[in-house]
Amino acid sequence: MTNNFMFAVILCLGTISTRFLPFIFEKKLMNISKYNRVNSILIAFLIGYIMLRSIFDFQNESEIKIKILASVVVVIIYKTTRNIFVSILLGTSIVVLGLNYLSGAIL
Amino acid sequence: MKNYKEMIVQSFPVAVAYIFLGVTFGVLFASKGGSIGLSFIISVTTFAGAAQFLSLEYFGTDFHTLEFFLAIFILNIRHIGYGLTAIKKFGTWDWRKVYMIWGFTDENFGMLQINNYEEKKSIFKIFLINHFYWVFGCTLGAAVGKNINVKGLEFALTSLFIILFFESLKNVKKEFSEG
Repeated sequence: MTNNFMFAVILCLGTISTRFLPFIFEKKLMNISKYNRVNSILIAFLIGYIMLRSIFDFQNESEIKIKILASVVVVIIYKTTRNIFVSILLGTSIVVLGLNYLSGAIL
Repeated sequence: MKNYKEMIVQSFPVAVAYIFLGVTFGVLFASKGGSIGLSFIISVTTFAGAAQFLSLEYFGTDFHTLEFFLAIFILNIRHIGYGLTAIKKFGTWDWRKVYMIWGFTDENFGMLQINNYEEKKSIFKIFLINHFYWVFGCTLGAAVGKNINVKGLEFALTSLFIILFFESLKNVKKEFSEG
């Protein structure tokens, strides 16, 4: 019981400490956040990082190939239709079908 | 200010991904001996996908407190970058700001970029809605155990970030072309 309590506390502290850190020093950091260029580059970098991590993390080669194919489809559909919902739906459908096919759940 | 109905529609991709990722976490957590109650408490108090998945490696073991803390801290270090981009948006300190910082996940960071929320109340509401999806998913997963197949549905979130990435590159180009 104590171990579970400590587990929950450390997990929570480890997470929120990184989230609160920039806001604790927000007065000093305010000047950086005023620069739109720095902000937009930082945002693009962080989103790119999350995107790549979610495509490549903890996968085998076949799963990565399916995810890359689905990512290309998402980009093409989004660029042609500008419809976020349809792009996400198609991309996700490809991955769900592909992964289930690989695991033998379908066919 | 946007109402809850409008925000639920906007948060649809996050809902799909959060509920299914949450269920996956809950299933794995239960398979390691975690209870429904603890899954609920962790998802309410922590609200962090990657960190919660990493924590599964430590759950039920004789973990070293400092090692566990550092692993979670290093994994979440990107949140310092998120915070830098939101200092102005989150405004002055009050209980809403404390909650928004607490719940500033990858997905909430994405929602802020895709929807230009001007008011703090709107940001608070969308974070609260997304938090609900996560808690619901984690608790449901721990309750249903291994009887559910959620493989691949988390790609809804990846798709959202692919779209966001292209939009953010456009912003970078715009910033530089404006001189």
